[in-house]
Amino acid sequence: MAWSDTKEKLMSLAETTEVDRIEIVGNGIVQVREATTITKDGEFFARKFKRWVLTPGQDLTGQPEKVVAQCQAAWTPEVIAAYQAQVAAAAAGPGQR
Amino acid sequence: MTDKAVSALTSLTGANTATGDLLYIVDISEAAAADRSKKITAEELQNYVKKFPATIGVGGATPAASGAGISFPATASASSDANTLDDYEEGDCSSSIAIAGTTSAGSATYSSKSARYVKIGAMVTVYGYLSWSGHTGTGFMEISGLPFASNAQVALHPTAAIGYPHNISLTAGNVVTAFGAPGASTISLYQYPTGGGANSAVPMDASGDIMFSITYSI
Repeated sequence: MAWSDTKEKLMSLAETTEVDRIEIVGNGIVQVREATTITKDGEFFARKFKRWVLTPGQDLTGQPEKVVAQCQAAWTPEVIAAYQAQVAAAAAGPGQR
Repeated sequence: MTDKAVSALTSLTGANTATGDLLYIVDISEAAAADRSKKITAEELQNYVKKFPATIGVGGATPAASGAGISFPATASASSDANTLDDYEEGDCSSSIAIAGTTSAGSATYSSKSARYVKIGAMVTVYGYLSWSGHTGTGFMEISGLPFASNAQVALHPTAAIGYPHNISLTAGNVVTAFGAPGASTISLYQYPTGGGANSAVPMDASGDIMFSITYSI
């Protein structure tokens, strides 16, 4: 088989990873989704997701810049205080702690 | 439609032979759509079905390049219709899931820390395995980092299953149970006496293993 024929049969696979969704829930919880997309010859081929959550007031060390920016915008002192109150209320649970 | 064609359709789709709904044929066949009165043979029907794409995209989604199924948009387009399935997503949430203390979350060394999720419409199922040691958290024990906050509007606590509580200290004669709080992304661990009685929270344990699953609405 000629080299040119072989070359034509080679696929071009590329993988990109990016935070593609930042969802802010009503109580300030931030849901982050990271998408790893694989393209074959420039066309979409497959995608995988990874998710994590950040709660109001949580340490943002190591988070992507755009996630930090959204969290800082959403997490006002009032939001953090309200979330902490919610957590404290939930800690009582439906039963006895 | 001929009886033979109806029979073929039934074998392919499980459709009711009594109705032989021609609209179904029109939907799946561009060729037949031009003439609804056209009689098609079983062979023609088989050929139409073979032309179905393995994957279809809804809402502008690019159909998956592998397997067979329905591809939803990467960003869900939520429907207010209670009869509409508007989203499907599966993925990994291992980096987020952790054992945490309620007073001080703390940190630990994990020999296993893995979890995955599947979201179908408004329902999310998360399942995982955590094995930890040297935890510095204090207070009561919880599993933190669910990939979606649960529905805060529903005054129902989503219940979780702890299928493998290993080396977790409990009060003598108690068994472990767990639930999530509305609007939160955590699972609280509780224990209750085998003979019945009041439950109590499970104190933080510096080491242990837990396999869990939880299904909840968002």
